[in-house]
Amino acid sequence: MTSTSTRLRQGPAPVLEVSGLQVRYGKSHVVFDLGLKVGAGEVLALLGRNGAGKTTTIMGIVGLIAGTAGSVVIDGVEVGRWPAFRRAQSGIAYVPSGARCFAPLTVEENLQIAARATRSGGAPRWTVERVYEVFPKLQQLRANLAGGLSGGERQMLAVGRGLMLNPKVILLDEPTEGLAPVIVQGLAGLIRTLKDTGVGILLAEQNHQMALKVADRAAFIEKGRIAAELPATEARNSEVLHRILGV
Amino acid sequence: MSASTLVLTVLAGLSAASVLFLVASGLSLVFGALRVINMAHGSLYMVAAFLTTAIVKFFSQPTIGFVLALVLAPAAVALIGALIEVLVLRRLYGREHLLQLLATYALVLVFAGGVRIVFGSQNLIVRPPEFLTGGVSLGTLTFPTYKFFLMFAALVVAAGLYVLLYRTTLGRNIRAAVADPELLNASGVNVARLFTTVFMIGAGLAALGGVLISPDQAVGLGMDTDVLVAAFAISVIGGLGSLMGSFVGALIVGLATSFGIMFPQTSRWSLAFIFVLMAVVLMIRPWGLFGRPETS
Amino acid sequence: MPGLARLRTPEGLRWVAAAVLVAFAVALPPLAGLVEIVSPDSISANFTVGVLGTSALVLALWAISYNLMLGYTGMVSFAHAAYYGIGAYTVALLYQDMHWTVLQGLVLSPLVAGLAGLITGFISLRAVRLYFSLLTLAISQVCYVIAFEWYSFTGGDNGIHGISLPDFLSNPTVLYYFIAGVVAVCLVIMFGLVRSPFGAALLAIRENRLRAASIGLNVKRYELAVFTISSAFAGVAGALFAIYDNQAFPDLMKWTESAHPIVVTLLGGSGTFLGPALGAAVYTWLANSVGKSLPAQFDIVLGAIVLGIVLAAPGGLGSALDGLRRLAARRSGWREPEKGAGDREALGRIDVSKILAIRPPKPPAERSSGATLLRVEGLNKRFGGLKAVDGVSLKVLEGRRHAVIGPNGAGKSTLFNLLTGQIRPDSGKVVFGGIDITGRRPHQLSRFGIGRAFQITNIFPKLTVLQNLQYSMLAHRGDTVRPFGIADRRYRDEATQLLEVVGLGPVSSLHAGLLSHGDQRALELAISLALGTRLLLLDEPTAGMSPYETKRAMELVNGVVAQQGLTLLFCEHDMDIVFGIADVVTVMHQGSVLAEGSPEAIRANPEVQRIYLGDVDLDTPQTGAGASA
Repeated sequence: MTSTSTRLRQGPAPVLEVSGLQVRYGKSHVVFDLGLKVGAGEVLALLGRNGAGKTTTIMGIVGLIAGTAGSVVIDGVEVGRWPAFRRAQSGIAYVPSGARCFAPLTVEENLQIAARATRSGGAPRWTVERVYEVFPKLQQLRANLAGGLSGGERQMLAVGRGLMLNPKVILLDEPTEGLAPVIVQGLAGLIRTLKDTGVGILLAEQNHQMALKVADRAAFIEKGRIAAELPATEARNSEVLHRILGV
Repeated sequence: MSASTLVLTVLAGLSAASVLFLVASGLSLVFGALRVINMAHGSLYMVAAFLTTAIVKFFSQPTIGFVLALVLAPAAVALIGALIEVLVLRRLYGREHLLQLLATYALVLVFAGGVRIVFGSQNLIVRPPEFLTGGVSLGTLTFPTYKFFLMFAALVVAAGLYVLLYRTTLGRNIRAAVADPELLNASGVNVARLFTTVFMIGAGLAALGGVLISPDQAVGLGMDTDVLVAAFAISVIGGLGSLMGSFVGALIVGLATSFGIMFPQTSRWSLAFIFVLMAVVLMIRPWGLFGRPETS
Repeated sequence: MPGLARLRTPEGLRWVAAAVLVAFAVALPPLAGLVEIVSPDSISANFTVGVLGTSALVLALWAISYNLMLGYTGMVSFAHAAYYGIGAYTVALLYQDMHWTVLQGLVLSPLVAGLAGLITGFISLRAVRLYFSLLTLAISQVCYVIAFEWYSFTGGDNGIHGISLPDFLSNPTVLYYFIAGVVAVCLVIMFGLVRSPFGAALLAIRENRLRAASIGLNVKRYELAVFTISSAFAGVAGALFAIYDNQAFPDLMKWTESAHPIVVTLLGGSGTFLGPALGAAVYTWLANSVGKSLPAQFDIVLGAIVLGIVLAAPGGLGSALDGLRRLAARRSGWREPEKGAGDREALGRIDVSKILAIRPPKPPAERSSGATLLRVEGLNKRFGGLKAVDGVSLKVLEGRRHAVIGPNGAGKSTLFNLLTGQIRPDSGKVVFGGIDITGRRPHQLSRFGIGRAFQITNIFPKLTVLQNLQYSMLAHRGDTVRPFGIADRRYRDEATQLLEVVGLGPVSSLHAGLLSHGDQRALELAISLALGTRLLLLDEPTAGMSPYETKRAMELVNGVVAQQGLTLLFCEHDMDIVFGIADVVTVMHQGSVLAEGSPEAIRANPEVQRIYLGDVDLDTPQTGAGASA
């Protein structure tokens, strides 16, 4: 663990730094004292079995769960006490699992809805046109209702909507779930492209093969805690992976 | 039944439906976005009607008074609505419906008492503006101009609501809130403030209905509950949360009431018919003709 | 506990408060007479007794009958004024058209109102929650319109007037005591009802409809029963109104009138039996003091009070008083039972030997007979375009601990829901102990011996731990159809013993909602034991628990299951649990069964490893952005 932390200190400045995260759902204490860091232009894979707390962790970071305590710092700003919409405006994009979209709105409206967020200088703005450049299929479907799209199309839309926030860090919750391999490939490519723009990415996945191909580091979550953290290259086929994800 | 009687009945039904549409659409909009049933919705309608009587009386010239009332009353009532949402409703989101019903019912009492203190318990009458008095002759019969105005106003508002919901940013956010408020929050929109805005719009619609009805019918205590139960029936039949539902529901209820009044044998049962229809809809398709089943 | 000391507990003080209220009601006429003598210019005794007293009594009866639905069963109805009106009209019409005396009308009123309640309740219960409430609104309006329009029968909006009373009731004081007597009889009946096993069923339903079904209660039937009973008593209240007010009119049935019992109940608190009576007294006094002189101000004051209560103390005056009672009791030495003894402690108190003491362990030969307890054949369930469960067959042998695992979306939860009757299969068969139980509803399954603990802990939060167990036993053994007897006395010893077994003895009088997560799980297990469960279905039993809780909880389950020869079917994500406990593992993937066998065999199975560790293989390097679908 020490070598990893040293590496982190030397690495890129974190766009997202979480520490001491505790999340409760009513009576259930689901996440215990969790901490993680994501640097600019870095992909951190959050790997764990179902029920380990991946989604709860992410929703806690984004501010959607009332019973959450702990520190969440986005690009140096502490947002742990802020309401979710303010966190979104300050640069954290949440792409929920299940390719959640606003079903009765059109594709274009889904994108525009996140567009009002302000962005403080620097990298190029994401606009609807730029999103269409990345996802030409969405441009074809711009006037269609989101509810009528296929799973893969909705996933693209969900990512696009996240991008419209011009985020500093994107949290992707199981984006490959239920998608065909060819689309998964495309998503992997997209993630690499986003990396290059300097955005930090937290990728929660059950599909660890894909995740480790695009990630720089991997954090393994088990029963609401980070059990291990490794560089991605070491994580593949590691004993840790087999122990935590395997049977 | 002659053709002219039929035409009159239909026209009367349409004009009744017009005001009902305004009130019901407000109730329905608030429920669709906030998932709250506002028992005080009828009270806001009544307050606006009484405010209209005061404004018109103040200007003693019905035309100016009425036009001003059309603007001032909904604005004032919308502000009251904002206060209600922020001070009362915000504490009750996500809790049992019963608490929300009780809290808004408490407001019904407060408004009823307040109106009574300020205006007394007599019925009041407002004269319509000059250019809207009299009747329009259609062949052998005459139909009041003002009632045509009501229909016109309803159509304008319906069009305006449509434009609001489907052509503006606010409308888009409202539709998104109806679908998934949590996702909207995560997308950077201040949902709490949006809820207040939606409630204000709903209150404004009820108020507009109150202003428009005052030259047509006597303004008195009891208007609040009478219109509320009709608005419930319309929203249930048409579908809570659906603009089209409010429109169609209002037509059904307006026409049913009108036909009931015109034909003495059935008049007694026309009111019952509306509630029987409401009951039937609740039993077989609770989300109404145009509504969508609640996903949570 | 010695007699007087018992009076100092909150429970005891509640009885004292009730006695005071009753004494006040009984002594009202002489008190009023006294007041009149002392200050003749203030309120007249006749008025106090004849108007205030009688209307308060009737309002109390009406509100308490309403509270049977609201406070005890959790149903919000807007139709209660309709039955009140029907009761009043029964007396009025029988007097006017058939020249019956009001007493005869009074006797008939609960029958007529109850019948109306039965029919309209049956209709209303076709809908749920908010829609149920709106449906009751619609129905009450229909009744109102009928009363209003049917001039020839009901007298239209004039109503029926001038109902005269038999001579002996012409004295206001005698009338008062007569009404008090009738109200008292009704209250005693209702009180007996709520304390009986039938009442226990109602409480269980209010606390947790889902759980109530799983302990064997046909929820809709109980709701209809309480709706009917409630309407009958509302009818009596209405009949009494007709008697003291000498009239009946349509406005009695207007939906806005239904607000009265709701507000009165809120004022006095829906949590106690006599709470609404207190509310009725307060309301009547307010309505006739402020209300008469300043009607508009009365509305505002009442509205402000209701608003204040809803926002600050939804339990009403009753709960505020309860707080005071607790304070008073503590002052005189009574101590609150230990709250939240801590999950570690409860689970740590598990003593498997105690289990042996109560239920001797079955000899090893009997424990795993190897007979097939549960057989699932070709179960299918489709949701829209998605096949959630696809031709699933499996066998669970008696005495075995059988785990179902599989990645997300494998269909495990759907399978469990199919097995416990929460949803019906499209096709296939489920056979339990030789009996075909396919498609049976949850409340029927508990009788066969299938117990389920839910993913989200499912107990009755505002009932005590002991009551959770007792009421489960009552429901399971069919006792809840009995409207007499005292529920809290039954099966007390048996339930207490079971609580000891799972380590919850010290917290038996605590509200179950206050327990820690692990303790609630233990309580669920106890309930399953109480229901005589043979097959225990656990859906992700350790979700949301800390590692310590998880370990202890599973030790508990393991211990109980092993010693009792229970059969366990559970699904889990935590592989340590699965491999620590299971004898047999079934692996599901995308709705169908992939593999089944011993834990070791499953672990070694490459197919299984694949679905967990390697689903999608991406070997070709990526070329950048631009996904094409």
